[in-house]
Amino acid sequence: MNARDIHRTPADGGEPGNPGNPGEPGDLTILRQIADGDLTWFDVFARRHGGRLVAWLDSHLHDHHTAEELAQDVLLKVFKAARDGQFDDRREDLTAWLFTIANHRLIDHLRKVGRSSIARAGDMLDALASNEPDPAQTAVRVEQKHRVHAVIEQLPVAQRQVVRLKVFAGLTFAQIARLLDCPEPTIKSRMRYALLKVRQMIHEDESA
Amino acid sequence: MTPDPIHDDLLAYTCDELDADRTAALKARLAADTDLAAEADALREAWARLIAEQTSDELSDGAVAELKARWIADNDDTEQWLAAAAQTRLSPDFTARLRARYVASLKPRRRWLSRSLIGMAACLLVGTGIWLTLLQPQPTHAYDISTASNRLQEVTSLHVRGTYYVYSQIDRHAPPDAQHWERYVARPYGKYVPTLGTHTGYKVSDGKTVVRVDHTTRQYIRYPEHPFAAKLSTEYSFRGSLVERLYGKPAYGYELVGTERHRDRIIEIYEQVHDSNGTRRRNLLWFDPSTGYVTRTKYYAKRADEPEHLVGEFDTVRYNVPPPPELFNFEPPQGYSATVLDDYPYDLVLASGAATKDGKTLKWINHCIFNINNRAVLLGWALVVEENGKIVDEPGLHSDPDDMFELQSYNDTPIWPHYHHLLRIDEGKFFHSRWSLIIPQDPHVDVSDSFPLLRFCLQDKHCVSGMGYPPLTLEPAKLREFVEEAQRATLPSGADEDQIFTLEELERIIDEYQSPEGMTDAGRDAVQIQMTRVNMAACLDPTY
Repeated sequence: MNARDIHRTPADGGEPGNPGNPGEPGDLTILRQIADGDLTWFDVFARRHGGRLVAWLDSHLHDHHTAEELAQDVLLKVFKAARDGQFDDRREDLTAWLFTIANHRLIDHLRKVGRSSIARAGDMLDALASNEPDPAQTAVRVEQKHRVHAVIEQLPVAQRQVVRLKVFAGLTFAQIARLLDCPEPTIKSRMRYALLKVRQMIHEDESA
Repeated sequence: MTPDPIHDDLLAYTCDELDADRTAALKARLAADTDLAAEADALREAWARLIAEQTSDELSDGAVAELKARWIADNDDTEQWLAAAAQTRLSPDFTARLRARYVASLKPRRRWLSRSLIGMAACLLVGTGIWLTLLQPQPTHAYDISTASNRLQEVTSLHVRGTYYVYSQIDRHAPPDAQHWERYVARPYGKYVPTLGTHTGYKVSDGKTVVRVDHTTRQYIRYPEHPFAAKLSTEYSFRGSLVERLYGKPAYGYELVGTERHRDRIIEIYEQVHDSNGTRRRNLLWFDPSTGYVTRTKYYAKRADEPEHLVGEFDTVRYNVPPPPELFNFEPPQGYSATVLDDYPYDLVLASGAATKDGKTLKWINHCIFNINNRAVLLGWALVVEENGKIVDEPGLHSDPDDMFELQSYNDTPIWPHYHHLLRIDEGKFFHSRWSLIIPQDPHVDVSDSFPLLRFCLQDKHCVSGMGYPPLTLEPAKLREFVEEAQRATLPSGADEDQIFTLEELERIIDEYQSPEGMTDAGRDAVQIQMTRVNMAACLDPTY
């Protein structure tokens, strides 16, 4: 996988010759233009990647507005890094890089939410409430079992990661492997185990 | 780790990633292999269910426009910003304000107007001052705002009611969603805690029983609470960020910006302004110097290029009042499904974390965490493994906790090398409780303000992190009381109370570790802290 592979994926668009939108420049070209102050294709780049970021962030947060705000933060960071020469397209995969930044931003946000909800609502115990062993949560979980999102939540963390990146971010297995720094066969195995588990859980749920 | 390369192709086929040639080959194989065909069906079925959950999320027009504005603002090119704004879907109002800012930056300021306004304001202030001085009752300065929060340690109850405002992240000019917020907390224990605002649910406790109600799922659950857990969480309420929100942070300073007359009293209005992460925050505090209580608070925020907005306000702040009966309803609301637990293992929990792997849940339980005179942290904790809701194991019970215990940074909290001294292990009804003293190797570390995340890892890389929860700082007498009472709470019935470590004994242990001899004996007790990259763990274990 090299940096240019990202232009060949259907979701990305592509360098000149993009099958979806002929004439649109590729990601790296647009990124360089934006970094140089040329905003001609800014919206195209923002929409192309913003949608996937929002979908992936939303799958964690279940809050579209926050997901959109975080996606903006991620893209802004990408533009700054490109401007400041911190992104080497010869060595790095743009998509993997994008989602690495998104992952960090998400973690920061979740940590801050734990604390800012305190600051906003006024007490640490609000945040604690979501962290306590909570019998009510167990009961709620039973109620929500039929929902696929709840099923995803029950997967082991690493499988869940792969499922979200595959389903919501629309990444290829190669991109996920690069992003998680794991061999591609491992990623595929996780996805396979996850799918089989999802099917089993859905069936158990529907027959209950 | 894949058992057969054909499974890779099968998965790629399932997810529409397989090229045409290999798809044809796979289909031929599927036609001849019923087991493989069955697996293909299973995978396709699950994939279809997941894909059905895909949302059509995309960055909205407003978000793209806002992103562009942020990028251009970051490059400090206002002219370009204006050009871009003209082509985008930014609200005319937003664009107009930016234009005004740009125009203002080009023109010399009309200083005569500013001077006139300042002069008029000064006259007005002087006039008001004279009027206040001569005609109004004077504030009785029995208390000072900078130390007023200490008054909360003397009150028996606190009732706060207010509103906080949630703004749209997309359209910042849309009116905010105002959410009612209310809390009542009383010593020695008893509290009402809304889940978020008050419309989604609440938690109510009388020190023996906890009731949680979730309006969104119409669930009601009741379970027992250890009296010490209730007392501890109540104490946090009187010292946590609610107090900071009400009384401000003394480190930011207080500026008197006005006074108001309330019946026979003069209420002073103080302002605090501070900047963090690109946001300017301004708090207004209404302070009664005769009682030492803050009676009202409003707090605002302002990000660059945006107008200041009201974040929240507490308009009712009452002290030493009985609990409002309408808040303390322990009965299930009509039509809600109710669960009542009589025997609950986690009745003495301040905070916890859990991680599930292979059907087993590793659960970390924090009974309490105290700042021992800013020299060390006393931690009551437990570590259990649950399977199907039952506790099946307690990892590391008979081994050195250093093997699985570490500190982990969050939000740039510094990690400090430390000694971990296991004081005691108490056998409980459901699991064992362990008592640890975490002592910084550097005696100058401020443990009250920089305690990092706690993290426990088993040898198979099954890890769990606890929330960054600050050690509770108490006055000397109260610290002694709480430290001993906390240990007593986990002591097996009939056990000798001599096993409880007094504050003096804890201090002696700290002395021993922090002595120059102890510092050099790194091989014995020192813990080398290292960062853990969670996502990269266990690459070789596909089931992880």
